Amino acid sequence: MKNSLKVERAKKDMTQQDLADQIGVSRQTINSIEAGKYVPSTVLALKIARCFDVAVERIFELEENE
Amino acid sequence: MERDKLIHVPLLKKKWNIFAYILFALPIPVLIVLFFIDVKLSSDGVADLVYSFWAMGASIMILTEENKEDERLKHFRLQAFQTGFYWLIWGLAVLIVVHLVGNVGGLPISGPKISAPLVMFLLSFYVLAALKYQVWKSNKVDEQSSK
Repeated sequence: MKNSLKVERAKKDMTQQDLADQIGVSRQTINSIEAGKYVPSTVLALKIARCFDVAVERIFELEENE
Repeated sequence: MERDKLIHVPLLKKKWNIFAYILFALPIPVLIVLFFIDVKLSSDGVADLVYSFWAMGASIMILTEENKEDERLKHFRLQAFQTGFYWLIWGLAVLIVVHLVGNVGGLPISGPKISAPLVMFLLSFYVLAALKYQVWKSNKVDEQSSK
């Protein structure tokens, strides 16, 4: 699953730590999601989307082979 | 199901790690004290004593919370229990084969006696290793991307 978390974060001029604090996870978790090493739960994905005020599918997208 | 108290696994505070480290080192003074009070232990008894303390130490470390407990760490912990149990099956299978070959095959090989403390030690050690490996790998990704 690919995501545009880094792009969305850049648009809002947020650091990984800022986002992590807002949704109540560690900065390492945000980093792992951005690097594609960790797929967040539905709840966390929805929290991230709500934080950027966009639909969840605008940030997270299935890849062609998935 | 997630909020079911019956299956909930409570985590210990971080300061419990100190107690775990003490347990790892404790077999040495305990064996010295047993020696001086003239308590005779067989080699299997000594091994079981050491395995018991190390199993307790590793179990405490597995159940001690990390700096920021979030769903990623919960996922790592769940995966660690699954992987640890999988490794235990293979570890015990190897020991059983060694015992079988030694006893039935008549070859001069023997493994450690399979006992409850040994199984507990292996399981807790494998789970701890799987957990720490995932945390280490995740932190490595973090370091690489922050460069």
